[in-house]
Amino acid sequence: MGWFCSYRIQEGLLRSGLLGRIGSKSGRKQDNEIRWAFHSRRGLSTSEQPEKNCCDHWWGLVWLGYHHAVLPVWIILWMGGACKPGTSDSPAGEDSGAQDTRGADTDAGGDCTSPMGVTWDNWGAGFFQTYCNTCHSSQTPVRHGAPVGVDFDSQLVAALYSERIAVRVIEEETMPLGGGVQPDALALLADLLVCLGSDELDSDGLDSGEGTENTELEWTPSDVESAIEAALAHGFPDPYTPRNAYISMFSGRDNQCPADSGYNLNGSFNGCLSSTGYLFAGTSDYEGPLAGQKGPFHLVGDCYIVDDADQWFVGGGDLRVERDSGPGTWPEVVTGTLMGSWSFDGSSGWLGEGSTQSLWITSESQVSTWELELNGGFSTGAHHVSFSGLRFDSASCGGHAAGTLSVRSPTGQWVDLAFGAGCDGCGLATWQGREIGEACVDLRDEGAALHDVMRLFD
Amino acid sequence: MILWPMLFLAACGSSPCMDGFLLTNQGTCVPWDPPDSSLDSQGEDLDDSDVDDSLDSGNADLGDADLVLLTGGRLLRRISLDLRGVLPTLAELGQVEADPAAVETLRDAWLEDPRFEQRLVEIFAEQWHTLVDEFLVTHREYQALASSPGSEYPFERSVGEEPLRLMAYLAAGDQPFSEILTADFTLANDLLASIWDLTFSEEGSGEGEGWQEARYGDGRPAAGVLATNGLWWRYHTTASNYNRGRVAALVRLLVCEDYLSRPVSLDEASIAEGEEVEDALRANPYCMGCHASIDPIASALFGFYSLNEYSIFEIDRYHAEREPLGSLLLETAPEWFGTPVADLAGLGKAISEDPRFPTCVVKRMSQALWRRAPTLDDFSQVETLRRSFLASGLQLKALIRAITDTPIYRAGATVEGKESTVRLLGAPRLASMVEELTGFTWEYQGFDLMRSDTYGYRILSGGVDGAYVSQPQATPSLTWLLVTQRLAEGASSVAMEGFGAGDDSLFGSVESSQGPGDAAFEDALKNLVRRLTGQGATEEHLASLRSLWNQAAGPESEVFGGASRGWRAVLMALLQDPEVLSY
Repeated sequence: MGWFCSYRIQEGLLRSGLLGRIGSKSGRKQDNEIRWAFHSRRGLSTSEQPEKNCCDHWWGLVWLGYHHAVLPVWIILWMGGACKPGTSDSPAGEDSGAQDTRGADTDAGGDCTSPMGVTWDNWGAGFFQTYCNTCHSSQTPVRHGAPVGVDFDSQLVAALYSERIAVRVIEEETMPLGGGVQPDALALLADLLVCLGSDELDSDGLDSGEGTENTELEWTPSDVESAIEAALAHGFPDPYTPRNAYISMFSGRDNQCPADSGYNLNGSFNGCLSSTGYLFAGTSDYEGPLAGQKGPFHLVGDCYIVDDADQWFVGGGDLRVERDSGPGTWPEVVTGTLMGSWSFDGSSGWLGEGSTQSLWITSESQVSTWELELNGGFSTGAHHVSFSGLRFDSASCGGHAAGTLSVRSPTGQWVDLAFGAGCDGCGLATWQGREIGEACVDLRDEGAALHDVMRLFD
Repeated sequence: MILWPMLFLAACGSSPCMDGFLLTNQGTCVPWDPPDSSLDSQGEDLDDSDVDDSLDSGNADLGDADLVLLTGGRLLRRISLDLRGVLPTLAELGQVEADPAAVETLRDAWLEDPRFEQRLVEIFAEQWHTLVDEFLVTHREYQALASSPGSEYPFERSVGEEPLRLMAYLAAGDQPFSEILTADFTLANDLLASIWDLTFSEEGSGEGEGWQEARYGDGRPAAGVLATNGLWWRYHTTASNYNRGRVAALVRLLVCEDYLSRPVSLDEASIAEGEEVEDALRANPYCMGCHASIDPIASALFGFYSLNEYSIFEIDRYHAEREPLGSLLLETAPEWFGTPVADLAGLGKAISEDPRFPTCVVKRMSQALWRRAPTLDDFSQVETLRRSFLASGLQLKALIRAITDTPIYRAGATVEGKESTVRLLGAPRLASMVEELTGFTWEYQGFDLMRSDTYGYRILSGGVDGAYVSQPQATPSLTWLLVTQRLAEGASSVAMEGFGAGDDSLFGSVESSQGPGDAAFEDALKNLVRRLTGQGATEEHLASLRSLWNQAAGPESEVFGGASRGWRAVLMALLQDPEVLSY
């Protein structure tokens, strides 16, 4: 029996309105009979009955109306025998010397019945999952201030804290933070707390909170190196390459197609076929210098252009180069973004094979040195890489990479290669925190090449 | 006939009229003798002994004393419409008349019927809302479809049906329903394979025309419906929403938790002036109440995060390189309510192991078959069903079997008016029933008018479009009445095309020269009523139909095809009969 429960639960039920329909049609006489029955069941003498000061109004709780139901006997019995107020967010009774009674709960056996029959398995575990486990989980590293060890993905722990749960959730409504528990859920929680911890741990065959096992990754450091080299075989993406491909496709336009207002690079293409056999479909908008010229630009596209060799240029998203400082001011900072699906069948580089990108590049140039940082990632063919603060500094580390480069295995696992302080292009490769080993990739040329592309000379 | 829509209100306990009175369209109460739904197929009264005690599996508030349960032909009809979308045949009705226990035998057989899978698609569509008429992109943006007239409707339905077909396929194939979240394949048809990077598998094919197992070639994880384009096209996101809206849908659909209905006062959040909303979502308790769990789930969905949601190239494919973006943009690693997950596949697995998932499946299927959402009063009934579902190894068929055994499902009449006993037949089952009976399919420019709204009448006839209407209509409306009238007219015309050609399923062997009083005519009339309503007709009803037949056929029926006109009028009237349009 839930011996550790507190009369605060009753108060909480009252405050929350769950006991708002309590009637007085059963009198003290009946109430006393129930109380007697309860204590007889517990094998207690009347002298062991709860103190009046905490229960002197509990007779009023004899009839609890949830909806159409009147309060069944057991909730009263439970409440009547549970008048041990708790005052802090500690397991029930720790501040009231009730350690023994907790043991009594476990021993009480499985004959506890709540009014609605709510159990851990049939509802309780889901409730804690919904409202509590995001912070109160033994597995989450982000606890948002939840005390360590107070983890409600465990039925046992939830039972230990049931008193405080009743206070914080039902009575005070201070948990979960910000509120938001549905009234029906509060009613069910009250029912759950009647018997929580009074029986063997529930189990109906479905486990929760065990974490998710993923396919094991059997990569060696060499596999990591090979995967990175394959993904970066054509270097790092830059925003100019797809822009140039886009502009070059307009060599196939005529004065009617892609727009009827002349040889422009913008607008809605309306699926036109030019006299030279180029198909323009979709819409795009370009502001910037002409082909071959570097400089700030912005290209937004939701289009495809098919050339006379049936090679597709695809543009979905936007490309941008911006100058954050300079010219004439050092350092010159240029940022580039590649966002979306930009690809061209005719490219033999990274832009081919259905490339898609979500990449931010920052290039910082001094008179004789430079730095480069990449965040985000890109896919080309079956290769997928991601960068988290991947940096190159021509003045340090001999131009080797720092930061983290991640590569995705064919079975979907991401392996992180965190370049170390050795400045040798090597770092520790890990998968989900597990060490794979040291892997080395020399990306100095790729970094320098991208900086060369991004740098604006004035 | 115009008064009968109010029957539903009365039956559902919503009528303001006293017992024995019916609310008219004019808002007045008139004396009314309700149809006796406690008549079995033999027209005999049911008594309490017909109520199977074993069916009362735990709901204290809906004991036998409150409900009179359907039996015989009417029960068989309800089950057939729910599981197959069509009426039982005369032979099936005959089986049940001979042996009432045949209801269970037939039900179990229908769970193996090819039409069951299609019905599951329709049931899931009511709740998953993917069968919308518009997505952010249209068929015209695909070269393969742009120049193909009539491809708009197949395109819309194919995309929307993808996740539904997968779920129905797994359920009909006796796979644990949790596989909807872990399967490493989807279901696709030729249209989808022509526009997306899909390869058909050698293994299985669904019961839907042309649907079979297929795999995407873009490296997306094995996550069942969570890895389908169809789901995320319907529940799209924006660049700044970061998949959060998708999470709300996902949590609602799979664990029946509705963030949007949580009693949270955003006013109390009182975000300070100048405070960034994104910062508030991570620090303000009123925001965190939801976002502490939403954002980690959203973080697992970034493979479907498009940077231009109107570009087919962005939304057609899974973007594996964006998987790590979630942690970057949302500043939280992927988790499912406190359980860290590695990726989308891990998310699917975590959901499939969540104790709320089977409960949610039970609630959703109960809602679909009870035609009302379970309430707190149904807690013990839902728990009984949940245990049955778990014991079966998450077999959806076992769950459906158990639900069709519940008193709530079988309720045909009620003592205190607490339970819905009459269910409205609306789109799309109205269409499938009529199609099977008469061969009439209502189409226009390639659109199935009873299953779409661009030109059609899905919403008007009580259906769910998933965008503007999210619940099936429970009571008749003016537009529903108009659609059923036109449907009856069209269907009865088509049905007569084969009249007189010999033995057919609707009219038997009656000939055009036969009329009222002829044995073949009388048999045909009785069988028609029995087929459509699931029970025998009263003599009064038959007399009114004979009268209608005579008026429509006219005195020179043989010369001018009057018999055909007579039967058409009878069929048209019956197809608008409350007993036919409810179940």
